[in-house]
Amino acid sequence: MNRDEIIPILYEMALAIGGEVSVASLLSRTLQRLLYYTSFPAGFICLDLPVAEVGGEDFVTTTLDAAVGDYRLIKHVGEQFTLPKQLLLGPAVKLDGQAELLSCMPATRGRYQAFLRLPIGKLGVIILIAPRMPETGLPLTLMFEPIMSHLERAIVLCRNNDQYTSRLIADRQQADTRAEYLALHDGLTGLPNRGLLLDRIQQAMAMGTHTGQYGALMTLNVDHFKQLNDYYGYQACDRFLIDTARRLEACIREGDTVARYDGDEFMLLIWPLPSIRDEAAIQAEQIAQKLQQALTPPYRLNGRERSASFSIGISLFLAHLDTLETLLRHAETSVYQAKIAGRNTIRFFDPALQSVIMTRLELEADLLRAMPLKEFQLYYQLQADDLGHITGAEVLLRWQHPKRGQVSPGVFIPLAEETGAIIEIGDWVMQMACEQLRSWQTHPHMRQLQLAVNVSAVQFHQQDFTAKVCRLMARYDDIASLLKLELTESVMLVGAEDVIEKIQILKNLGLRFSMDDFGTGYSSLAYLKRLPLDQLKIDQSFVRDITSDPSAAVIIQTIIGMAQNLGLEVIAEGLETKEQLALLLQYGCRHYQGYLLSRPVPVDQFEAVFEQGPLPLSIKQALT
Amino acid sequence: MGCAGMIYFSSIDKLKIEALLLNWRTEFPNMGVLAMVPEAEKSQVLKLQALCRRHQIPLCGAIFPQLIYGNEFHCSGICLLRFDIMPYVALHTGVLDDTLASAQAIALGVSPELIDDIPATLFLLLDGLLPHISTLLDELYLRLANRVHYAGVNAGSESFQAMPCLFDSYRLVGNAVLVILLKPHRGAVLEHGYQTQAQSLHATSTDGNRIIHIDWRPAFEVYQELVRAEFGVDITRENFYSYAVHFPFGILRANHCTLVRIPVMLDEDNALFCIGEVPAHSMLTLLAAPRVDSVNTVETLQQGLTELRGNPEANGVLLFYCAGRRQHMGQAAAVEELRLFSEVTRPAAVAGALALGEIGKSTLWGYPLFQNATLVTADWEIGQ
Repeated sequence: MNRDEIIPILYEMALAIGGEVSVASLLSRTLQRLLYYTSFPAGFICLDLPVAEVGGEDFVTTTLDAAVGDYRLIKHVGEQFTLPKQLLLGPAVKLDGQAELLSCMPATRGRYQAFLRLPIGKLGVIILIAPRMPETGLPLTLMFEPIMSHLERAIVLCRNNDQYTSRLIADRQQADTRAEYLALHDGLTGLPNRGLLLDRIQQAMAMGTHTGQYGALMTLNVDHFKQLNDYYGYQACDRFLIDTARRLEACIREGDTVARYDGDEFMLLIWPLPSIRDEAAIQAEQIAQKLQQALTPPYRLNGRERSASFSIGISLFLAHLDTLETLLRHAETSVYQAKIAGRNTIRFFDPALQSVIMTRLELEADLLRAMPLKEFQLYYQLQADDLGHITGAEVLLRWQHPKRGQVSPGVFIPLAEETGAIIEIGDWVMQMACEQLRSWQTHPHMRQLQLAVNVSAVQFHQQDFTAKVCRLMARYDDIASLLKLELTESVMLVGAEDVIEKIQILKNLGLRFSMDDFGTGYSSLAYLKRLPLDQLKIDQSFVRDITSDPSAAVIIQTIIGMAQNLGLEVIAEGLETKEQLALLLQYGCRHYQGYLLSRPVPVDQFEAVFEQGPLPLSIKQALT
Repeated sequence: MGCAGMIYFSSIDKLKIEALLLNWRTEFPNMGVLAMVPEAEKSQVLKLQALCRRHQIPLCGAIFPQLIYGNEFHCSGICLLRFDIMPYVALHTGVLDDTLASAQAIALGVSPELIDDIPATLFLLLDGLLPHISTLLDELYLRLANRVHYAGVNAGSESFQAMPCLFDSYRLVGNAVLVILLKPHRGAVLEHGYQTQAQSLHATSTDGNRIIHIDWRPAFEVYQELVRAEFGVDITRENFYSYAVHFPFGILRANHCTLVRIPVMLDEDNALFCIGEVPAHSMLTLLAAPRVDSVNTVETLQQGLTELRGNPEANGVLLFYCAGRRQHMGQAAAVEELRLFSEVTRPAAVAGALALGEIGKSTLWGYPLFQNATLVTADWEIGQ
């Protein structure tokens, strides 16, 4: 044995084995180096052989874990075979003339006669094969022993590494899948997001080009979602949106798409629909009605049941007749139209209303600029008692637009509520009212005047509303009892208990409360009894009809009677005629506001009226 | 001496070549051409390509230091070998950048051609300056195994300057492999006949075809000491190649076949460049002034060819002769070996080239090996 011939081979093989980190490449590379050095043309490796038993079967079933050098044999790597024990098991051996034994191997029948068996410890075996035994003077069965021992340990390490790597790959794939999912879906509801929806719309448009079928894009918006969010908090509203998503999913057809488009806005792609426009519209509306029904049952929000309403806009499309951008604009417009139509409604896109909506959007933009540009003014409409004494005034907001002129409060107040601008505006109004009351404190007669300020439901339900008013009153504590906050019945829509608590906190500061527009909206007598109000304000619609509509008169009498029973003051607004005044007086109403007494006027004019003393038109005079 | 499909022109006469090609094509409409061009005639390749393109004759070939035709080496002229039907040929570039990807591409390219059982030879013409040829062969063997026989030679300049040396009808490129699938074909035989007196020598640091350290010392320092001891001559950068061919390295195999690696260049760091890869971290032996048994070499080749074809009759025969071997033996001895080869094998024609490295197997079957200092030969069968 020539030591100088063996050591370089072992050295190089040890390095080759040590350089591999996965089982597959380790086995291939080991076989390759063995073939390279021994001149055997082919070889294979079987791992995890059964323990050799004395006697028993002559064959063992094993897996072909690696093969190199034989094109046909390589094709069977990974497969199971039954091979003779005599070939696979036992110590290292080199045998020639073994054609019969080697004919048991797959795909190699008759081509090999010689083999070299090198056991890999107890882990497996390497078999090198050749048509005839390659010449060598080296002790092949002995010289590779340290390499086989090294290989056994390397296989164990590589197996561990393979498991670790495959786990890493699986984790990565999972992460990739998740990332892909998140890129196309809304994280909260799991619905397709805007990107995926737009993609599917384009697909539908493309398919529509061939089929001629209509599609519909439905926009579904939660009515008064902002109030819900303000009152219940974002966590409850998140659950609300998830619940809505599930209900919507349950309604759509296979192939339709329901997506969360933005905040409280969902969009549904309904495709395909019939190729006749009217039929498509009918089918789309049926689906919309189904949606509305599914959304009708109350939701549970913070443990309470709460109904919600939705506005649904529908825009039909056919192939690429409209661009994607136009279609989306139509869809948005249609839901605006539904809201304008009174919410909780379904509306198809109407091109005629498009210009109205554009105007509204422009107004919205102007409204947001009005506050910094100081375009708002405060007017005062006096309130008087049955003796003609001016008791105070209601503070009314006016918007003097440089181009539009005087914008009606009936137009811009709802818009301010929808956009949230009402909060900043309301804060300003309240502060100005306080400032006005403070300025009157130096006047011997005017220091008793009260000011009524309207508080929007949106403003009232702000979580920091009471805190803000408390901070304000800390600066104006001397006039707190002169400030009257007018709430509408709509505040009761959301959380009466919370309303009661807030009112009570502010009443403790000395503030007074009036229920505005009473009789027109949601009135729960049970809550009314518990509300710590000071005044009910009879809505002007009843006052207007008091002389002509007996039912209006009855309602007014009922309100007055109820107020008296509850110990509340009653004021009638919208008083325009002496006849109305006479009847109100007859029914027991002692406080009034309306054109009969004065229009809303700037503060200097109001003060001028006050300076004239009690109203010349006393009630008694009016009656005579 | 001549053979219908294997022609040597001692000078490049475009009209004669054109006439030959058209004549060939009349008889073999689907023919193609393998052209071997000596380095001194490399400027003629573009003209040959233009000629073949004009007549829509598929072309492939390589530039070698010199050509072999009959019993002689030729510095000029051109060898044209006819494929009666143009076989699968692919010119793979960018091999230096990614050897594994190149092996994968080569295997993917030839695999569809190997779905039958017809014996085939994967004949590789490589740029001689590629550093990872052994790795390329390892990877090819993992993929194609014994489905093909492996044969090949390195092309390029004997001065070991980089140059485009492989071509097809449109490209002339370096850093590439020209793959020719000969089918049916039964392989090539390779032999160096070096009588080795192995002296242990540890290449303790290698990188591709560079030996950086020997016995943990700069490779060139060790080399200088050995040459001084053997010849009493101080080796320099200028005379390096002249002496290095007498001190090739050997990688021993268990069957006592030795892979020869001839150092051919020095770099600025005193590392030795060999033609052919030296496996990473490998341990080598130094084959000090090996004695060549020419008769034994030629007889081994003849025996191998006879076994391959199953009879001793030869037709056209390809023969590639290692440039380093000729340098070691001297011009006269090399020419004598050519004469001896023709005498023993008695072919109708011998055509080939002086090569910068050879691929083949020294036994009938087995692992494809990259060698230096050898003769590699194969039948060029009519109807190739």
